[in-house]
Amino acid sequence: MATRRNVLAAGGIGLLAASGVGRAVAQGRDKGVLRVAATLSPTSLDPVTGRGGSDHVCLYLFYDTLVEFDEKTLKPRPGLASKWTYTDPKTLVLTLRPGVVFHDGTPFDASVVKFNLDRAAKHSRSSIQVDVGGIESIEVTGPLEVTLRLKIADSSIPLTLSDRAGMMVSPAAIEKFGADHDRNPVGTGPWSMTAFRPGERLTGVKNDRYWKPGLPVVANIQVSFILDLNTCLRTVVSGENDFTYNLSSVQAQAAEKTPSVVLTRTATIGNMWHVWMNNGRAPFNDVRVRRALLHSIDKNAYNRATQRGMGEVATGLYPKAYWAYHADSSGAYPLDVEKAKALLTEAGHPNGIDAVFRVFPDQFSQQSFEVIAAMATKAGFRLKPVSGGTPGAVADSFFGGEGDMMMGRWSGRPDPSVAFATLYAKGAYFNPGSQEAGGFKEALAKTLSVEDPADRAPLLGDLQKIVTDNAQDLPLVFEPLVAVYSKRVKNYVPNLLGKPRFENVSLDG
Amino acid sequence: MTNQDRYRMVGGRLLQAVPVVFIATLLIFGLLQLIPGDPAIALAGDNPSAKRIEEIRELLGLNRGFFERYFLWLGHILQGDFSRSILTGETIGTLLARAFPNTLLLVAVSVTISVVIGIPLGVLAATRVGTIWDDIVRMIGGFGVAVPNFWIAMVLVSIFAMEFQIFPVAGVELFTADPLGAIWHVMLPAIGLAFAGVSNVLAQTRSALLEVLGSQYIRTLRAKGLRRSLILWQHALKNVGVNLITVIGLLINRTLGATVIVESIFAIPGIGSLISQSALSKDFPVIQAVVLILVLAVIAVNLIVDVLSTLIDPRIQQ
Repeated sequence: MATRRNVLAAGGIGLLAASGVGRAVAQGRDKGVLRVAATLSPTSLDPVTGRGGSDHVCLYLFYDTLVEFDEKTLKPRPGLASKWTYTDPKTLVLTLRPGVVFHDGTPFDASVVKFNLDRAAKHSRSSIQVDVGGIESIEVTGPLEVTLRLKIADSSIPLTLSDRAGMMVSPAAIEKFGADHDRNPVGTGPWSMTAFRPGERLTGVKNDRYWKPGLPVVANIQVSFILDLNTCLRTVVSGENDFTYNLSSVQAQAAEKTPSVVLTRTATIGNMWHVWMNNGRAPFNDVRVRRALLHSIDKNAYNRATQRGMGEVATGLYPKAYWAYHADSSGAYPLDVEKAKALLTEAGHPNGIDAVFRVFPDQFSQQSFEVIAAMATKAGFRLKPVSGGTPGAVADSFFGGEGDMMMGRWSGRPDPSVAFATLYAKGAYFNPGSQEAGGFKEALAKTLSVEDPADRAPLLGDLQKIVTDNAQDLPLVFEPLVAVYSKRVKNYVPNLLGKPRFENVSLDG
Repeated sequence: MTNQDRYRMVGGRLLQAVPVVFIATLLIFGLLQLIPGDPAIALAGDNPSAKRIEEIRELLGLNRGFFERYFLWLGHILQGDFSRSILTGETIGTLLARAFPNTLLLVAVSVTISVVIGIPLGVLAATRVGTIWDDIVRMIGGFGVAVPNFWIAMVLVSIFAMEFQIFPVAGVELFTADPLGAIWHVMLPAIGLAFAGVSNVLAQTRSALLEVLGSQYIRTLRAKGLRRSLILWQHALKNVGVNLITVIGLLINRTLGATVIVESIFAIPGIGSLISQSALSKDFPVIQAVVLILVLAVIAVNLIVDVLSTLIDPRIQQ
């Protein structure tokens, strides 16, 4: 019966449905907006105070770096610094690009570079003090020239300036926003920020004064923060978003079966799974025990079991595509269970050893541990898993000296010498036993004493050989960066760093 | 009950809440200290020196004693200062102001769905007791409590968001900017949460109504010749009002807790997502503040339920 109540109810439902359906359809196809689904909201949009490796995808939207890198090899190339020259091993002169302007109109010049590098060193919340710790002083030696005096000969500085330390922030913005600059980025980058709701969404509009002509191609960008990777994938498949990344091999398999999306897989330096060993105490303070472990693991089987075979087996710190990769150490520890047992016996453990293995609480880490433990058992390693707490807590306790082993993902560093130092140098945070291989320090210094990547590569190979001979860790596999995007996304080029950039991306229809 | 009695009751409940809140905050503050790991190390960046870690600890006040930190924190809370997130540096008040409305909307829509569907189903079952309708309704109720809400949510997403694209897969709209859009965005997760709520409401409605319909005064009303629908809607349902208010209050509290998983699946930046992220990153001030807010919310809901009960039930009033 058509009573007033019934008509009003029907009308209300119809209105709700119409607005919802209309909205669901309208969420697709806005040609001028690239919609990205990312899992983690940035810890800060200030490159100096942020701490997350996942921040970079958002930082790249608003900031340029003094030095950039080639996507395929990560070799350095000019950025805001059009040229850099070592006038002597401890003096680096940066020549800056003219005519660059921040989003707020502040001109980019040498004084801005000095301001930013000083800030990186001295800010109370700076997370990159160590990155610029090798710089003794910074001088403005011309309107577009900065001279860095270094404490030691250090050729890692240019690539360090391709990361957070090289991201240039407007001094006027720092003064204007103070601590709130964490959420109000002002750089010279391809987009300028229009809105940021942490944990929810970040939007940007094209920087009309951008110094790279024709870029960015897409006028607007929107990054939605969605904690769950499956949900990220669903939003791309359903058309609510255009691009997502950092998916697992399981999700990659699901995406491969979806005809409406494109999937890319790229080995990166930032996704190396490996096992740390506490080499500061028994049993892993004996190199024979460490070598025995390396001989007991079938990395191809590990790759098949945990990465569906999609990863690249790791034999050192870098994948094959990286300029610093060296093949010399690649065959050092073939699977050889008998040899592993012999090494353990030689080291005084004929009945095998017991070891505490710190495991992160997530499902993948638990599964990975089971795979490693099953293989290591054959050689006589009896691994006892100990979990509990957040991943951060597990890592903190292990690097603080608790436990014998831990598996984790190494996120990489912009410069390979810095990566080696961070992982294997005496006293480094990521060196749990703080033991350094003989000759490491000298070999590291050599890699920092030459600038040309072609000259550095063999020296880095020598460094890798020292680390490999000393069996300081067990590299397992480079997990590929899996990105999934809709077919309207064009010109996406994945980079070896594993942190997507979008200024060259365009959108079809 | 006179208004004065009511105010006295409310005042008494509020006084009772004080030790509850105090103990809850102390427990949470204490339990968080047991989590291994040092936030100062996480914040200090790569390869930090011991000096740098100590500087961060000093900056955040982490080098003070437990009770000193607790009472300092409590003192600030009482002045409305929830401190700042260790991770992002944002004021926690801002974080809560942004997250809480999303969770509130989700809970409100979910509870509304539960009530709007649960009560009529419960009435149907009670008035058709022993028939096939009663069996069907009770089966629906069983399904709702047996099946996990996150599974239901994922099935709903697969069908109504991915396949037919009627609802969005994830995210929210600001209620102030687009109220209908905001409700539409939370509809699927709210339905997922509401399955268990419908079961609770219909079971309580059926059970309480059966008791009332079997009572002597209802038989008297029938004997007097009143229409069946009039007896049901104007007499019987009033007497189950207190039961329903109580179960709805419990439902609100339970739904608040159940939002953690559903908010993750649907990428709703609410309190549930906030507490997940903060727990993973050891952002203690945020965890403490969120738990405090939830404790206060539960106390407030219980208080409102008590007051409404006195208004509805003449026996309590007397």
